[in-house]
Amino acid sequence: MNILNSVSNITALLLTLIVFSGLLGRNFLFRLAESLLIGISAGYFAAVLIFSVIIPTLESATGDQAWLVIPVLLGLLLFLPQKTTGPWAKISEAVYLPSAFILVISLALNAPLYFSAFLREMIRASIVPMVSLNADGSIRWDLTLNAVLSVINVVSVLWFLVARHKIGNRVIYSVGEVGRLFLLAAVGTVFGYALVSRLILFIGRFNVIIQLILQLTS
Amino acid sequence: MSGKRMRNLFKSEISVSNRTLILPILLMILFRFLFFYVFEPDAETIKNSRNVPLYSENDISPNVKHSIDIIKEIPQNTHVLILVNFGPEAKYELEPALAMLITYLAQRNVSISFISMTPTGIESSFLALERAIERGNIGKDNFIYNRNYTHLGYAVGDSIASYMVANDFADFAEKDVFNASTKKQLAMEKIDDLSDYSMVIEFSSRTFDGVPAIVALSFFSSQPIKKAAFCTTDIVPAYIPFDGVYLDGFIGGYKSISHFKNQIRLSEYESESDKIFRWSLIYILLLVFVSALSSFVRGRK
Repeated sequence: MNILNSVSNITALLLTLIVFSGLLGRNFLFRLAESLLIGISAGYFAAVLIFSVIIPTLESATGDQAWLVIPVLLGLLLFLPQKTTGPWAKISEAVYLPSAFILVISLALNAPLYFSAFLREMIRASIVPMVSLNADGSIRWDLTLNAVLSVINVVSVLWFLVARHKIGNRVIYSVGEVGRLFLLAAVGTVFGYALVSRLILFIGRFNVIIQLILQLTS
Repeated sequence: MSGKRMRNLFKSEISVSNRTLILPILLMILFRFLFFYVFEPDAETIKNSRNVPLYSENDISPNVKHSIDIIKEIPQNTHVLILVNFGPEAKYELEPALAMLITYLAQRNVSISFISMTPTGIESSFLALERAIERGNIGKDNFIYNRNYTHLGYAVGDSIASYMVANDFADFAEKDVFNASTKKQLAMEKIDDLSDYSMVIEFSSRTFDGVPAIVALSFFSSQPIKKAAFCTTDIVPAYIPFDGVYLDGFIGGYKSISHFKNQIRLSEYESESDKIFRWSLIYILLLVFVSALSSFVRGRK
């Protein structure tokens, strides 16, 4: 093991232990690790953006793609000072121009994507055909049940959105509760997935500590 | 809230969670003892207890099997585009699978181009490459930047980036991550368009503007090209609706990724560490479940 590897391994081990010390309560070392993480992340992101986006764009703008000066200038508008009164008030509103431009482009691209991906294809994949058949002509219950549940799910959740304002009417409210049940099941599933994902991260880090201690002591 | 009150509150929380956890931990130790030393007293069983595969071959869902088959069918001497959209948060879920895929493609002499749509993805792809070279037995001299693989850099702009990659690939891929021209790179030879790749594969731990990057890429691209996605457990629900519609293959979540690693099986190290992960995960999940159950039975809030 070379010296550089040893130093980086010891630093990784110490920092991991310091972060885990946060489980016992916030302390000076934990706050130090927190600040380090934020600082290093900001530095890394800045470096990537400068070297991967800004410098290549500026090089192209000064070369054969002079039109790139326009987005660069639009981007620089973000640094305009904010004034709410006086003659600069109107000009400082130009700070919203780049954001508005990005928003419009994103909306134009995402609207058909959302419609196609989330509405048309998802509905088609879930409920067409409503009754699925096996090769021998018998009903395939798993897919059929999935399609029926999909319809009940969408209708009851939409119903729930209306029913929560109609507490007085017991029938409407009770049907809406089915939608609430589906929503809770969805939230529970997402929570379960997130929990497993974070546990894997925790186990991985713990595994690294054990490996590093074994490496350093051997 | 005063400092003293805060300290008291913290103390009481610690003591409650300690009491809640002690019983399940003791129960689990007892179960393990009973299982291995009372019900299975055979020494060989105890010795091999950690080698029992958690997921058998029959346990693989048809969708995952189909996805693995699609990846195995990538033709030799072709090019593959890999979107690396994860950072350190998915290191233990996706990095081993990516390293294994790189090893598999390298052995089949498939050139790889990487693109990252998150800044951390650049580092993740190089870490996976190092892992593949170190543990996958490819050999440093057989897998060289420019010749066998290249990184086309960070594609900024979320769905705008997907649109650019899908429709203006030649312009996007003009320079690599080091701002060097890709025209003379062997890894980019004969690549003028997205359709020149035999497959596009995404490794992701996030969505962009609410949509998986590969779905956006598939939507914006009119070219018929095979697409597969690997994703972390927490964003599986975001990918499921698109499996079979926009994706030819989908391997999402830790279990499916484990199946993939088991099927490809190129590195003993990855298989061994995977085993430790799976057992630890089961123990912790059991611990969480039993703790929650004991709290529920005792009527704790």
